[in-house]
Amino acid sequence: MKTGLEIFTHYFDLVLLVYTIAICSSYLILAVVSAQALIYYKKKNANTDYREILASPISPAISLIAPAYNESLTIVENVRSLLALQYPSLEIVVVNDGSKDNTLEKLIENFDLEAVPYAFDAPIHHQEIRSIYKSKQEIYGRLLVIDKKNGGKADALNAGLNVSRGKFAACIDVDCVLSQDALLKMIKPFLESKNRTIAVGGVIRIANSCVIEDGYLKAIHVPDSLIARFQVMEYTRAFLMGRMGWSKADGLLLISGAFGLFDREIAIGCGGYDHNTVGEDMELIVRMRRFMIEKGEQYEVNFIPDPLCWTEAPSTHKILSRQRNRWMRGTIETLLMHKKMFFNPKYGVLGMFSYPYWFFFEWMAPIIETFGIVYFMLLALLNLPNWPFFFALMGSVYAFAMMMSMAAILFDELSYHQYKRFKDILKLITAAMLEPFFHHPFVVWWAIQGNIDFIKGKKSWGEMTRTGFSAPKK
Amino acid sequence: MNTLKSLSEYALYNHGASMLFIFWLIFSFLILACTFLIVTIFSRLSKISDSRKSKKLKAVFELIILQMLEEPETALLKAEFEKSFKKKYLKNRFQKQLLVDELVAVHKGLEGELANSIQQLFRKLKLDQYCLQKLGSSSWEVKAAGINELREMQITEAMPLIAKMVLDKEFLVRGNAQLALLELQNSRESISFLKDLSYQLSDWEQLRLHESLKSRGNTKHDSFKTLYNSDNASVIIFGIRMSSYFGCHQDIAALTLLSTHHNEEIRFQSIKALRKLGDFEAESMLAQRFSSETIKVRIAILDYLRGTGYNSLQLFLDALTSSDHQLSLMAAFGLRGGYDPAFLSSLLAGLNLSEEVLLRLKHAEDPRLPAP
Repeated sequence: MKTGLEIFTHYFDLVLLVYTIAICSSYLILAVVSAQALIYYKKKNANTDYREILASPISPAISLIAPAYNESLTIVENVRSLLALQYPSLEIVVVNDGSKDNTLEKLIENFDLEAVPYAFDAPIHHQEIRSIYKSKQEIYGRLLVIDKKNGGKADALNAGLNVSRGKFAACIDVDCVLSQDALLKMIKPFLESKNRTIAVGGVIRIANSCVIEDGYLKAIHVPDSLIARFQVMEYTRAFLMGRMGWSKADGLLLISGAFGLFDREIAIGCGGYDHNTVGEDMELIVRMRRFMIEKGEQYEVNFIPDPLCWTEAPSTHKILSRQRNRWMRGTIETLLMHKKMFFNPKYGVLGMFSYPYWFFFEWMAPIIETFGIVYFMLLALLNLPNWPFFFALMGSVYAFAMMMSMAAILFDELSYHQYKRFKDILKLITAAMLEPFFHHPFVVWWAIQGNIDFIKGKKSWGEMTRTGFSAPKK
Repeated sequence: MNTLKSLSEYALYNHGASMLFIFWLIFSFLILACTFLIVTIFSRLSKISDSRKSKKLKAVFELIILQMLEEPETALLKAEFEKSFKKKYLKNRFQKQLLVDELVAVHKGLEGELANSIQQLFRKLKLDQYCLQKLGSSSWEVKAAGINELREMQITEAMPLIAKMVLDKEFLVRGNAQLALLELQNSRESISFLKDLSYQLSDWEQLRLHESLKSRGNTKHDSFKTLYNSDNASVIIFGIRMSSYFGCHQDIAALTLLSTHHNEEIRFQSIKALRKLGDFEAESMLAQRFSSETIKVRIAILDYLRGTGYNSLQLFLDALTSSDHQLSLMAAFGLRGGYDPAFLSSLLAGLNLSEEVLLRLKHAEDPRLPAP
């Protein structure tokens, strides 16, 4: 006769086993699909001359929307860099989201701005716009500055969506560094697709320790800080081995808020960014997709693997914990807002695969992992574990993690060959070997804190202090 | 169910067998991790080696190309040179492809005699044969690259083969074949093959075709109306766009007919084209159609009517107070741009316009601010 504990451990072991096999298999399948998509993309664009877009009157207008809050230190340099982007019909819309510092004054002074009687429609809600500015100088003719009451990033983006005029809207973080041809590459999927493309996302790369001068990326290096280096591994896996695959499978649910290009009409049509979530970037894509499916229209969401956007990653545990906590809350909020899609065949790949994947392997993974750890500790207290078996299992998980990280390094090498120095590859290999011990446990813990804060009803973003690119290390 | 249960029990409690399986897993994962690592290192080494090799070869190729451009009648075209050069520098695919790439890149920037010299060298070294072989490849990317190279080097013999690929199921092959056919035919009617295209002509393909029409010195085109008879809406739209960009006044009558087409985008594009061509013969017809049109087409009509004087004044005033922002703003632009300011001020003063409408009128006054 089995005791209650034995029955519990039997079933709990079984759940953990099935879960582990499922999550590892999904990673493997995604990696294979991503590899196929990456190879296809590289072949297709090997001889593309993006300059053709530059000269063509067929190129559609793009509005680049950059919300700015207390960015006075870097705003002028950032806007200059945006103004230098290559694209024929481009409008740069900087939204000053009620900054408490002198962000607006700096913009007015440096770009010779004056208030204009700008008429716009406001189909989506946002905080009051105080004024809209244009430059007196023709050289800054592309620039439009909106000054509004503070309402958060989603609110600022909504104001930008309302005021802007482009057929497409590129929503970015103002402190990101975009490669000069970023928009030329991002617009191509919109131009070549058979169905209406509603959004395109790109790879976000980590710029810590890279050499950036006057808003331009001059040299690419692996970050010196180990925390940032771990994030390089995470980003490479997530973008090249995850989103690329989801895009190919028509199941992409997230385009990073740091840089995405959207069909403005659809973004507005579905209500714009939601103010009630900290995961507004993911939520918008899910809503746009639902909007198209519910309207019964054929559409596409694409992802391109080119390294077009560079951002500064948190380099301390304190800041990183806030970011991961927010990401987890954003994921939960989005999943709950769209719970109707869960295993709903009406939503196709999204309902049957993407949503359940996010539910089980993004939201639940840290919770199940934590339960596993607590369970193991209890067994250890009762001296029940089979230690050799335990170490063998741990070894297999570690070997799997190593394999995936090495695959990510290979993907990076074969696709865009970003890190030119051998030294950089060695640094990445070291980071991959250390990550399961020195980074992953923290990530799990921050995700658990995100869950707890979600239950508590926390809605804040948490301050993201950045050191900035102004003092590059050469 | 029982099998599943016994399997799970076996996996969980038969530690001997499970251990063996786990060790096999660890071994497999580590072997794969090492393989990925080795491939990464080899890929890096091969890139370094390729870059060194191509640097050396490029120096030789550049010298030959330069000599060919300076003295096209020299020893470069003699049989001995050809033989020795091919033996030394065109031994394998890597070397051939490198030279093809170099020649194509140089040819792109040249015209006339200089471009002919490069084409001559290309043929003399039998690189045309190398590229023609690519057309028979089973992989689409090789085929697509081959078409591009043959097009750039003006190898007209390739036309029959390329013509078969215009309807290829692969997007890139199809697009490159369209471009190649357009450029290799080199006649006024060369565009007409598009008429029978069954695939949708994407904006990307249209953009490339347009660039090609521009860049080959074809700055003057009489007409694109042959494309208007296509059953493919995207081809008609391309035709309209080209008529507009190349200023084909001869197409105006056909464009006027298209402005009543059942397809909204075709109507929109044709009205835009008529405005761009400066033809206002369709004024009364479009003004009559205005109220029955979609908002998008109405905006295009208002834009068209901006240049027609006082005949459409009432229509602009009605649109100005419309609930649709874009329509109202376009009407504001039409009123501000098309009428005498003093007359307009006195006219508008008599109307009880809302704050919003007044702002739109002010917006339309500022030349820095965009129209819808």
